[in-house]
Amino acid sequence: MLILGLDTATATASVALIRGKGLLAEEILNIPQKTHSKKLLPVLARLLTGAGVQIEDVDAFAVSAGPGSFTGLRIGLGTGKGFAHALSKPLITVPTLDALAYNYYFPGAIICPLLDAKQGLLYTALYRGEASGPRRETDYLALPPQGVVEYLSPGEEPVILLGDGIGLLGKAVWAQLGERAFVVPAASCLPRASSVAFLGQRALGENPQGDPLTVEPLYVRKSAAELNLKKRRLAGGARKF
Amino acid sequence: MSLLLLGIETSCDETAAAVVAGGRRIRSNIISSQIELHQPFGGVVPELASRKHLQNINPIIGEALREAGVGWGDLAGIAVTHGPGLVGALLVGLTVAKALAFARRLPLVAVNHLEGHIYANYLAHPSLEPPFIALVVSGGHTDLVHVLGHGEYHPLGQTRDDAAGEAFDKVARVLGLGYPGGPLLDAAARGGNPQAIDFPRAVLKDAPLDFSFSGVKTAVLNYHNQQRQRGKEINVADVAASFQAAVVEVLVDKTLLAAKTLSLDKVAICGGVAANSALREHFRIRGAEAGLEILSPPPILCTDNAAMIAAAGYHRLKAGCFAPLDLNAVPNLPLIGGK
Ligand SMILES: [Zn+2]
Repeated sequence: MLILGLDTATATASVALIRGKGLLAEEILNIPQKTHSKKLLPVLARLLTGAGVQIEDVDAFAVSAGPGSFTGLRIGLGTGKGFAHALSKPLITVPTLDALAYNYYFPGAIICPLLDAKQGLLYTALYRGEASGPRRETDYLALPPQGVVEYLSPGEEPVILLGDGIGLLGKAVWAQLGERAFVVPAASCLPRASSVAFLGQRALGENPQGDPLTVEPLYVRKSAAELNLKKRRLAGGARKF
Repeated sequence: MSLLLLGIETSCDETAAAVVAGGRRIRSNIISSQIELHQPFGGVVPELASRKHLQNINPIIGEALREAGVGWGDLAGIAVTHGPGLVGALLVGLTVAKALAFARRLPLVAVNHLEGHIYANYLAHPSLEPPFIALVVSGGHTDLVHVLGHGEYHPLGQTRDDAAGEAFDKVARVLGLGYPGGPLLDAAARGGNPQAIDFPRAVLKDAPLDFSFSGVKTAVLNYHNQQRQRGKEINVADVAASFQAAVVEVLVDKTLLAAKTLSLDKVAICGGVAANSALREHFRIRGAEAGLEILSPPPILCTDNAAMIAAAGYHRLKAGCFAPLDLNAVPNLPLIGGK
């Protein structure tokens, strides 16, 4: 079974092809610019050519569903929906934090993926490393850095940190974690489409998901407008073209 | 055999897909409006619009294909709006369109939303051919354009401040009519006296075909505040009708002046404000007086739709103007001089 993975949830964009247990090809662009819309398809076209694969050969599409940049999530999921719709193939969504934890799931450790959620918040969830993969033990959360530490503080296990939110942890947080903290190497720190594809393959085997055409991103956070209905009402909305 | 195009449009708060044959014949035209979603906010909220588009776009596309009775293999290409509009909203339609075209190996055509509005007239009037004068009048634009040929435009005039539809929305908000302002103000004006209050008509001596609507908008706001300070009841119908009359008069005057200056006898109006009943009525009467042919799409083709995008895309497809894989949304894409 050939699976195409897509991840544009953060500033990083990646595409990957997996077959069974093997990674066929993967490309990661970690260039913090808002260019996913421009770059995703050209990168994908190159990947397919390089792997000698036609898009029609793909059996299922797996997309990183969030949390992450709202626009980034829609570019990834919109692309996945377009492929699934055009080719009548399954589309599987994979939570971005699950995929990130999958990059480095050392058994016995706590895995703590962190993504910059802007406005001083971090997207995170805590996982327990097991031989078969990371097992999620909390909800998907949007927390200030100190809140992350409060979740982590009891216990002695090593804490594996990964993701673009690591830089947002202040000095105090590092002091509290002390020697428990372990930051993974750069390549495992990035959201990777291969992890999305492998988890997607697993989800596809377990329980077939709903209609690929109506599946939604995992936004986790409400839009600013919904949180601030009154203020919005006074300001009015955007113009129509 | 006329070529079939799938059109996709998500530039603002309408999720739309359509199938058009030969650039002229509508096979399906599906529009999902988000009015109810944005109503509590008094205007379009970009993030909510984008979320809703992503929820609806593929089912709407599926419905457009089903209603037209066509499969992917029957299509000659896909046309999609890439600007102007809300960037996040545009990106949803654009992203899905690119993926569909890539997966089915179909040519993708990028369409300017404003050009789409002009092409609504080709759908409504199958024998229409350039040259003609087009008035594109919506919430974001008020443009007078000389249409020389397919995809060939010469700008004649534009607004220097507010678009006509923007002024409608703001006045509707002040009068407490709610959102969307245009149609609600049109309805409120129906029972009013258009001569009740003499709101200003902007004449721009140095550029007679340019528009300005901030003056009339401010005049309505001032009138509203003065009446309130004096403790006087405001006759909403009269204010709406008088404001509307001022805007309509300027739009009609300048459009007819453009036709006369260029010695053209055909005028096509389009865009959301072209659905306004007073505007249509005045164009009908004044056009007949001037011996001009006034064309307008039915209201359903004045509002944002994807049939107009497919119609505009047809000519680009025939001209071989295919969009590259790295096509991006351009929120401020101009009608003329844009890529
Ligand atoms: Zn429009």
